Amino acid sequence: MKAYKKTGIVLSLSLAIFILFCSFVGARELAAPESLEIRDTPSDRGDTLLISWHKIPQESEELEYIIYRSASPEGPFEEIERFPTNEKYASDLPQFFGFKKENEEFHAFEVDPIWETKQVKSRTVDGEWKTSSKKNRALLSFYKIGITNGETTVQGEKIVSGTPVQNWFRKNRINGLCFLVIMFFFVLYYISKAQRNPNIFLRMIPGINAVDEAVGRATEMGKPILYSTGYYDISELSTICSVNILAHVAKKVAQYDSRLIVPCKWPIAMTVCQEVVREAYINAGRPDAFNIDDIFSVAGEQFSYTIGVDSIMVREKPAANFFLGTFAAEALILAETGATTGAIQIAGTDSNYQIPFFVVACDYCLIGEELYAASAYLGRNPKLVGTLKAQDAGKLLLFTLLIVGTIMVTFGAFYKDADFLQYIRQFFLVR
Amino acid sequence: MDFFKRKLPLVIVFLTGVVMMISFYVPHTPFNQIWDGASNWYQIIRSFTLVIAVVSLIRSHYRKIKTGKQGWGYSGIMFFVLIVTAVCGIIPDSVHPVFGNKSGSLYMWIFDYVNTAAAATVFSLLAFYIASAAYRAFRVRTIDATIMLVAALIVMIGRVPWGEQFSELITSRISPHLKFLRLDVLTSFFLNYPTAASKRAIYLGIALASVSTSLRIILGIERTYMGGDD
Repeated sequence: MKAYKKTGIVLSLSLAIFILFCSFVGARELAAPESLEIRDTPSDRGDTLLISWHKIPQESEELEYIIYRSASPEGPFEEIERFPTNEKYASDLPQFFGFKKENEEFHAFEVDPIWETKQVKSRTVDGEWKTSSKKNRALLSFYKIGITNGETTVQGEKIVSGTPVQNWFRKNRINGLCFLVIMFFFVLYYISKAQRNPNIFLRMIPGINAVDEAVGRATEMGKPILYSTGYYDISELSTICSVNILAHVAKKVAQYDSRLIVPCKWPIAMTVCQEVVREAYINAGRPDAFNIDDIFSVAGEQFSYTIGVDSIMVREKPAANFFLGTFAAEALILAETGATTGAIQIAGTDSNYQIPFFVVACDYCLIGEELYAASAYLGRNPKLVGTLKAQDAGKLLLFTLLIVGTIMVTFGAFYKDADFLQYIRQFFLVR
Repeated sequence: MDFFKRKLPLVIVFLTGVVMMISFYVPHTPFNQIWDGASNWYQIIRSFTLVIAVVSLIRSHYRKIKTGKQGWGYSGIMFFVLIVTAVCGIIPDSVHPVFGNKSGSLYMWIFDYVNTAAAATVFSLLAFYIASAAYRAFRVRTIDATIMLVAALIVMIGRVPWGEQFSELITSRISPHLKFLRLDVLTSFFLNYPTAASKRAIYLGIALASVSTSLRIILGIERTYMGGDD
C-alpha cells in the first residue's frame, strides 16, 4: 500500500514537471522578437513613430503580433495594434525604407504616440455645447511587442521609447520640388524666348477658336449667351481658368453689344465674375452696357444649381452656352438641356469622367489641359504664350522620364540589390 | 487706387502662393499651422459670403417678379420657401420644438423631404440623358464613331454575367486557345489599357497645366482674373 502511495506521488510529481516543461517549451516557441527598434517617422509633422523588428522563422496567419504602448517603462502597457505575423513588412512602406530586398526581412509599423491633450469646447449644429480633446503635445511613449497564437500570449522583454519630432523638409516630396524648379526655369526661359519672337506657333484649339463664332451667332440671333464656371468655387484652379476665359468672352460680348448671363453656384466665384465682366465691359468701352443683375447666384446645392441653369436655358433660350470649369454629375444634364434648345455649346473640363458627356452633347469641347491653356491662347500675350511653351517642354521631359522610368523600374524589379536602381525608383515614387 | 486694385492683390497672391508652396514641403511649425489655418480661413470667409449670395438671389428674383418675366410665379414660390426655411431654422427650438435645426424640426423636414427628394429627382434625370447622349454618340456616321460603338458594345455586354457566360460558351466550343476573345477578357483589356492610358495622359496634361498655370498666377503673369489687363 505504502509502495503504491509512493509510486502515485512520484507519478504526480513527474506529470506536474512534464506539464511545466511543456508549457515552458511552448512559451519558448512563442518567443516575441527582441530586435525591436524605434525611430522618428521621416518627413512628417511629428505625428507618428516607426517601430521595426526582424521577422521570426515561424511566421504565419495564425500567429499574431501585438504592439503595446505605455507612458512609462514600468507600464501598464495597453494593446494598440494586432496583426498576423506574415503581414506589414518594411517593404510595404517604400516611402520610408526604399525598395531594398532586405526590407522583406523585417517588419515595420507606424505607431501613434501618447498625446497630451487639452479640452476644447465647441457648439454643435443642434446648439449644444460639446467638450472634445485636442492633441497638444506628443509625450515620450514606450513600446514593446508581443506574440500570440490565440491561446498563449508572450510579451517581449525589450522596451523601446521615443517622441516624434517635426521635420523641416518632406524628403518624400523632393521629386515634385525638382519638377517644380525645372518648370520654373522652363517658364522663365520660354517667356524670354516668346518676348524675342512673339509669333511662336501654337497648336490650333477648335473650341477656343469657336468663341468668336458663338458670340457672333448669338448677336445675330438677338439672343443671350450663357456662361457657367462649373461646380467648384474660385479656390479650384479650373474655376480661375474659366474666369480668365470669361473675361475674353465678356469683352467680345461687350463689343458685339450682346447679353451675357452668368449663373453662379458659389458667392465668391460670383463676386469675382462680376468684377471680371465689369472690367471687360470697361476695357471694351461699354461700361454702360454692363448689367450686374445678369451675374447672379442661383443656388449652392448641386442639383438646385443644375435645375436653375436648365430653367434659364429653357426660358431665355440662349444662342450660345459655355460650360467651362470642373463639373460633376450635372455636366450631362446641363449639356443635354442646352442641346435641346439648339444653342451652340462650348464646354471644357478637367474632370475626366465628364469629358465624354461634353464631347457627345456639345459642339466643341476643351479637353483637360486645353481649359488651362485657353486664356493664354486667347490673350496671345507673349508672357502667357511662353508659359504654354514651357508646359510643352515639361510634357517632353515627362515623356522622356516615363520611358526612362519604365526601363528603370523593370530592371529595378530584377536587380533588387542594385542600390543605384532602387534609389532612382524611390525618387519617382509618388507619395 | 491702382495700388489697391492691381498691385496689392498681386502682392497678396504672390506671398500667399509662396508661403503655401513652402508649407507643402515643410511640415514644421509654423508652416503646418499655416497650411491648416488657410483652409479654416477659407471656410470662414466662405460662410460670410453666403450673405452676398442671398442678396443676389433675392435681387434677381425680385427683378423677375417686378418685371413680370416668364416664370415669375416660381420666383414667388422661391421667396415663400426661402422665408419659411430661414424663419424655421433661425427661431430657437426653445420657443417650440418645430423650430430650430434639430432632427424633427420643420427645417430638417424641409431639407430631408423636399430638398433631398428634389435633388434625387434631378439626379435621376441623368439616366434618360445618358440614353439620349449614348444614342447621339453611337450613331454610325464616321469610322471613329463605329469603333467607339463596337468597343462600347463589347464593354457593355462583357460587364454583365450573361455576356461573360455566353462568350465563354462560344469561345470554349470553338477552341480553348480563343480565351482572349471572351467578352469579359476584352472588356478588361479595353478598360485596363487603352482607357487607362488615355485617362493617365489627360491627367498628366492637367497636372502639367496646373503647375504652369499656378506659376503664371503666383508670378503675376496671368492677371485676367483681376479683370482685363491680360
